[in-house]
Amino acid sequence: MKFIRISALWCSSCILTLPIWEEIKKEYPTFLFEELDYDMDETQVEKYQIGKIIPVIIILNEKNIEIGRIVGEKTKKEMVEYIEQLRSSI
Amino acid sequence: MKQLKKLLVIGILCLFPIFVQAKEVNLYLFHGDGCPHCAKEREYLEQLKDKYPNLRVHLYEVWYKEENQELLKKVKSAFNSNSNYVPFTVIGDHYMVGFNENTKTTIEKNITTCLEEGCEDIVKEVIDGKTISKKEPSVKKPEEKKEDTMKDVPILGKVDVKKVSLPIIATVMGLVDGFNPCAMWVLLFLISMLIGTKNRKRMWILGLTFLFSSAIIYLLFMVAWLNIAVKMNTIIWLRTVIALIALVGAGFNLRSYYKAIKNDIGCEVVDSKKRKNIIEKIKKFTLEKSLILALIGVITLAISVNFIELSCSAGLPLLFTQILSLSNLNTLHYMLYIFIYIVFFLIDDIIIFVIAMVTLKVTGISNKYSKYSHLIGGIIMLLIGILMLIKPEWLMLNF
Repeated sequence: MKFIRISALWCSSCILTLPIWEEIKKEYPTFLFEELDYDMDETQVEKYQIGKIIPVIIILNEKNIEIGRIVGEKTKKEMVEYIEQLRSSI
Repeated sequence: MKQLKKLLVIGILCLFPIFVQAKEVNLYLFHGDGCPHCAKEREYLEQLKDKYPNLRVHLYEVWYKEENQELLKKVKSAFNSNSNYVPFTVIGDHYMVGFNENTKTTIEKNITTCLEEGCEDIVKEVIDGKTISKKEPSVKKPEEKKEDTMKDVPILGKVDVKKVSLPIIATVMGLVDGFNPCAMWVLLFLISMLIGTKNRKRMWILGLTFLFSSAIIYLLFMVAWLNIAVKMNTIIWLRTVIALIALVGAGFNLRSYYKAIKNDIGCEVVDSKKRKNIIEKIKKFTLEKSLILALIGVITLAISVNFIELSCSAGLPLLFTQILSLSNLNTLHYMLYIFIYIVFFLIDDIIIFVIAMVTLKVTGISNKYSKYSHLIGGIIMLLIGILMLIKPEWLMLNF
């Protein structure tokens, strides 16, 4: 599974959820993680049609197909539950 | 013969009070059509006319009648008064602005004094075209009977509600205004870029300059609005327009809150072009070698950001200055309350900046609070808009 986090330097929600993102990376060392900046990596971000709310975490399977996304400020518990749910469904 | 003399003397003495009683007293009321305090005073004066048959009440409507405005101007200059407010009441050589429980006792006191001792009729002299140099009023202002506004508040103890209401409104509205995310994102981006420069002294200088410039810009906006509001607050249709702006602003805020509770909590990405423009500017001057040029960059940034974000947060400061203009304050008090408003408007920015400078890590405030700032801001605007339409006197906090 691959996780792509889209955030921005000026976004307070992104700043607040960054530590959670770091913890998730440690808890799932076998997954791939990538970070995109909403302003600096505009062309790559456009591909994912993320709407108006950031941060967004796009979750892709081994075939690089999107299987889910986490939008906005979520607690670690909510994120882990969602990831486990996706893992069990593939 | 002696008896006759006695009768004659008694007769004169009896007549004397009537003669004295026959003396009239003129009361001049400069009022505005639609001004709630004026309406209350006019009602009160009707009662006084019954009580004092020798009281002559002269009414001058000054919001719509120019010739009365001219007369009021002359009367005010005779009294050295620069008050912009109505009702403006003159009895003899004494004037009062506004109308409340205290003014009632002063009015009656002056009427009785003028009836008993007589007094110089300044307005009559102005009407007759006499030039008047302002003399000390012959009627001493009676000790003002304080309305019982002293309340017992837990912890704080005795608090004068009348004196506290404006500072509380300044604090609450400043805080709510400060919490909206419009300008916060610029500060966060600026801090991120400053931390990247790894030059502590420069970070503090540029960051504080940004905050200070934002405060000055906001101060200038609010003083400009206040001046307009003070000059125009006697014009009913303008106050109605501002009340409608408040209601529209309330609608926007409440809609933003409603949208926010349905959406995920996060940063709303709007107006990319404008944002990119600001981001480029910030990048340019944070990497600028010359500190002077960087400072100029920060100041222009603060000016442009606050101009752009004005529409996002214009409602609350506009309404606050409207409330100030309705209260009968002097310049010093105006500036004091605006200062309080701006301190609390900037307080969250200052906290975030200081934490970032000390820890060298950017912190943020969860966007779930910004949605509550929309809710509270919307409710405040709704209340003020409605009050301005139907009960403006409730907003007159210093009469």
